Amino acid sequence: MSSELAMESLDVVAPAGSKTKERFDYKGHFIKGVIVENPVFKMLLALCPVLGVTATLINGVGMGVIVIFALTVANAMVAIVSKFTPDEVRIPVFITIIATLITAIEMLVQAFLPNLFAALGIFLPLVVTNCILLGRAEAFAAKNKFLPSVVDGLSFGLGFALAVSLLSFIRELIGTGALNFFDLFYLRLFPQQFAIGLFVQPLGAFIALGLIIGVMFSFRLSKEEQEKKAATAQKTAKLAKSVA
Amino acid sequence: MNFPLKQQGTHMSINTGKSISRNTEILNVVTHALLFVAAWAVFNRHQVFGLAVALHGVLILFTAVTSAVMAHMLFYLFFDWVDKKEFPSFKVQLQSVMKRTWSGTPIVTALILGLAVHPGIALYVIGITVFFAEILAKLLFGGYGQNIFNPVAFGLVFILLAFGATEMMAGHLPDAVTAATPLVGLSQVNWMMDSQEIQRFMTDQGGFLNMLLGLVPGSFGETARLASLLALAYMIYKKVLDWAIPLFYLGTIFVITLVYGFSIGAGWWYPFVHLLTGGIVYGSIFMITDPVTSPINRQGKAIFAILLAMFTLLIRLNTPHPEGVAFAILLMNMFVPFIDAKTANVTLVDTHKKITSVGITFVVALVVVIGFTSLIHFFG
Amino acid sequence: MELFSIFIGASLVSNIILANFLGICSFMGVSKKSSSALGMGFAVVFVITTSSMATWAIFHFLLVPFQLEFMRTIVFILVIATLVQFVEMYMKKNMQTLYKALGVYLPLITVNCAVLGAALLNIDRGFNFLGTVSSALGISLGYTLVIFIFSTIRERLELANTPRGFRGAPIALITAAIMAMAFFGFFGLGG
Repeated sequence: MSSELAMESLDVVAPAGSKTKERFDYKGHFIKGVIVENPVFKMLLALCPVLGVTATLINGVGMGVIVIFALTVANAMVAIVSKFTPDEVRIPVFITIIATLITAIEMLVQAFLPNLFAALGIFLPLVVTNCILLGRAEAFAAKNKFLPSVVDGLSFGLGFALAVSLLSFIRELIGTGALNFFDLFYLRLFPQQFAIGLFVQPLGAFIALGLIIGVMFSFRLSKEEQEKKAATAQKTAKLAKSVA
Repeated sequence: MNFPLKQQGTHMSINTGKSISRNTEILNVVTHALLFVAAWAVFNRHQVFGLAVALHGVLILFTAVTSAVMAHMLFYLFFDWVDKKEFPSFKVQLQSVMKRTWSGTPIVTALILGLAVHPGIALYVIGITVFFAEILAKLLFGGYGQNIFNPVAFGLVFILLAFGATEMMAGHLPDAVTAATPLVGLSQVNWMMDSQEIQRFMTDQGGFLNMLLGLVPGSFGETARLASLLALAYMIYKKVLDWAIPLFYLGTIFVITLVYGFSIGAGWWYPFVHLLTGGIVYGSIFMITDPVTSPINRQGKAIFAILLAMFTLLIRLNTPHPEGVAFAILLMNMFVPFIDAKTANVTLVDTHKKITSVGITFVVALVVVIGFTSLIHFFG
Repeated sequence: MELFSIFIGASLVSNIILANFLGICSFMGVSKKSSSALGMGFAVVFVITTSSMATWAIFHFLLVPFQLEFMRTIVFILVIATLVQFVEMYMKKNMQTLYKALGVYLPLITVNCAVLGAALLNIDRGFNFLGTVSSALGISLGYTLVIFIFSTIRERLELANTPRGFRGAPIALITAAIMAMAFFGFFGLGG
């Protein structure tokens, strides 16, 4: 199961019991969460909201911001609490923390951004089951200190937010031919007629995401193969030189 | 689940289990049959609607074929670029791309889809649809021989979902063409009519023979019914097509609609109203017989066809969709690996068991359609 | 016959995976062995049905009277976690072969968006108790159907010549897209 494998590989990122005395590599870790191990495009986590809320740019960005906030705070709280929690009840405790946090966020959004609240619908409470939240809590925040966990939350949250924003950007652009952002700006790129309305429908989400991930993977696999070829070419060249 | 040799390997000949020359022969026969039907259909539309529509039809076919070929070429060029494949020269690369395109049968799919769409459809709609259908439903799955879903059915549903009803019509065609086909009118009453209404409907259409010959509103492929049947005979004669699927499909539809027709008092002509309206005849000959997306052996094919009929009628009779053929095809495509796994590896040739399974499927189909429809209509 | 149309709506017209995007993670990771897909599906049927009944009861008899609706997220997820725990214990004792086959998947049902989503959807759609049961059965059986079908398609996909970058998740998403198109044929079914 991909999310289970993903949780395992998340574990590799921060090996258990790495109580190193040296300074924590904040910058490196930050980049890791956003680009190198992007939770959506590389680890393929949390696809449910990615597909469900990316019909418009506002929804995508809104969800992204919410997740950044939730992940950071959740990681922070888990980092503090995990020292005192016995192993068996770890997961239920983390879930409770996350659920309480999400409930608070739900109420805030409902109060201050009612349109966003209505648009996100059921996906807002479902952030509780977002694999990234529980995954990072379990794999990193439980085993690390406060500040690194905060950075971890920020970076993976940002990775998620970027992915979601990118997808909703593409979907709204191709689907309606225009971009609408909180009435701040309204940009129409091409007439409604030629917009492929499919992409703002659920179906288009599947297709768009599948194509994007597929193309990304294709490029990455090709790059890896080139690197491998170059490495073996170097080796054989060295061998030839030593023999000659 | 062990899959027979058909699914392994990438070369077209291995996929269909036949030699390369035989495959080319098959494709040629099918293309000729399609062109025959297309010619008849264009002439047909000319009779009913005039020259503008007929010419538009030719343009549709042309756009479809061009778009399909371009989709293939761009796809191969793109992935060559991503994989950084090297060729001695661009000309050699082009030759390699053309060779791969040819084995992907873009022309046949494009022709079938081009004939199946609404006659008044805008050219950019068909262009985009064919492009996406080829890439998403055929090339990404591995090309011809390895796709799971029928690209033509995909294209038809794609049009429905991606384009609005008004914007997809070409602006310069007469209103009579872009108006609703008789299919839509029938679906609005959920195909429930008594025998008097049936008679009136058929006289409106010009009678039984007219409906058969296709001198009625509708898409190119749909209306060229007699031509399609002739093409079917030709393809069976050349052993390109297995008669099992069309037979079981049309037969099941006939029987179920006969029973249903009597239950609503519509008389003997009711099955023919179903068979001769919409895309059932065309679909049964050119769409559901695609060897790649249907089961391998005859028992599987029979079950496949019967369940196809069940879904077609379920959708026609119980949902707002006017036509159920495309959806039924996509639904059954999903079950083909399952059907194959259950029927294709029987080591004992137990004919009795095979026939019973087909029979049970038939009874299930009959019960589901009639039961479901009655339930909805009497309680809804 | 409203219960029947709720059932059809929940399983086919508004399929939880294909139309509501819940349960995608488990859909993508579904095994090639159709028997374990089926086993997982039935575990989910049990969890969704029982949790929907429990959460409906708790919501209407506990949360609403005390105006604690906002607590639903927390309460629901804890109910689900507990239920899954019970299912796991029961299976470990009485259905050991199935437990071994499903192994790691069981605890992950807790975070399966489909389960929490089903509970929330039932409340949002405002069904009465029987309607909720019907909807829960529809949702979970629809879920099982989809992952079962996909497990049969999966093996055939592995043998195909998909471009390297598209193998696995991307082609799974495209397949899901086409399955969603197929299920669109059910639109309006059941009145």
